[in-house]
Amino acid sequence: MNPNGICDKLDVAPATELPPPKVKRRLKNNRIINDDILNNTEKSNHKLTEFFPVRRSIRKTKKTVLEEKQKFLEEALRSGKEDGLLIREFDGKGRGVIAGRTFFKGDFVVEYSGELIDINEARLREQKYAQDQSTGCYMYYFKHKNQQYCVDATAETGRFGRLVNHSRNGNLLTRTVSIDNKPRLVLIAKDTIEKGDEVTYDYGDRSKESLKHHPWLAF
Amino acid sequence: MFEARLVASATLKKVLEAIKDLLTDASFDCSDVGIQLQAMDNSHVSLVSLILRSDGFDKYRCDRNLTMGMNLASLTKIIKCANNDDTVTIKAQDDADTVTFMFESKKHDKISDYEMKLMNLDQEHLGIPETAFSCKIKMPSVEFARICRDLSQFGDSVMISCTKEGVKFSAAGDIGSANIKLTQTTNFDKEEESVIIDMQEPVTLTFACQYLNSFTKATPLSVQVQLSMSANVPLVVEYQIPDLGHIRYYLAPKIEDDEN
Repeated sequence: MNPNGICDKLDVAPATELPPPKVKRRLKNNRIINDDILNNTEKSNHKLTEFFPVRRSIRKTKKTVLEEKQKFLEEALRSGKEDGLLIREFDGKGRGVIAGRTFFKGDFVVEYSGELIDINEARLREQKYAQDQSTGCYMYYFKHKNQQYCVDATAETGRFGRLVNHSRNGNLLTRTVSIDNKPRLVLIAKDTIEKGDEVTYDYGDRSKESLKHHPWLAF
Repeated sequence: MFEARLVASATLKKVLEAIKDLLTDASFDCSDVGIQLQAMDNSHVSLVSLILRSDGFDKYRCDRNLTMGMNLASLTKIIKCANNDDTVTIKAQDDADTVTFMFESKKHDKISDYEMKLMNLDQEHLGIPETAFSCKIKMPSVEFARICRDLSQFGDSVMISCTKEGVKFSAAGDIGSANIKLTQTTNFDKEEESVIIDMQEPVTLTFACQYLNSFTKATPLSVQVQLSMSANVPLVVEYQIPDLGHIRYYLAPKIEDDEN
């Protein structure tokens, strides 16, 4: 092959540029190659993706959706923020919590925050609280990973979770979420909750003893 | 269940010929609309967009949308087994990992079944906007193929410039330069031989010959080809597949960088 073979391949010079005579070409071989490379970049192939956008599906897999939800929930719990809720005084049952905005099914509404204690500690406290009529019932018993726990929210904290009232047909559900290996109680919207609706959940306590002291648990 | 029956397997052969130069694998998207394919070549410079409309088939059934990823070399092997006048039926179950091609001879005395494994191809789809083009040129597809072939002997790229006088194809290289001019036909007796230029604004663009030559592999599908151009956007080369759909090729222009 002639030594200019490489030139031929690279040559995409503009139409007007005539190839130089052969002798000169050989002498200026290096220069020409450089020119050719320059020309190549000057008038180069462009990619279609520079003209048309790549369509990416915005649909997510179920797993991704769940992971995102979990992440969002953890963030909400860690930050301890309680947006979109208002306290209102109700006749006959005291304070309650109403929705300050619309919550949709599955949305995180509020955390039932308090002191996480084990079952033995809870029994001791229960006895203590029973002696004082003015303490309400703020002990939330639950099971997490086969272990019985209790969140004691008897102490006034300014958080909303402890003020949510009971209803057998409540619009919230309780879930346990593990954060830093400690279970936390979250209240999730069971259905769409309109702005201004009172948020409630089922305390689940139907024992005779409890009903005697808190007859409203039956409703 | 997916089932599509085409009386002339020759069409399918031609379609395959038209894409296998550019693509090694392709995902065929089957839906109510028909069978669609959109894929870029490996270098991402060109793109093939194919549609075979459902109403163009003799029988078409697609219960659920289905994407069939195929290796085109394997597909070619199978399609080669069909005679040109065989009836071809493409069948696949929902969520299938294989596709079956059934060829029936014209006399119905021979039936051949070929099953091919499907592939999972992760391909990028491009959103192609509907655009109004400055120039649309309709010309005989054989003529276009001839021009591309002839000009590619002179250089790697071909310049297409469309003015109201006509359309000029030019190339230049070491051996010299070449220019081919086509003027609009005034005689409309033979529609398939006519050159029709619909120009809003003159356009001059440069393209790589290699891709244009690959596009012309679709020539047997259609007597006419349409080139659509606007300044600094990809060229569209479109071949109609009679009664069945079309195949469009998009090619990014070669652009001079002004900085130098």
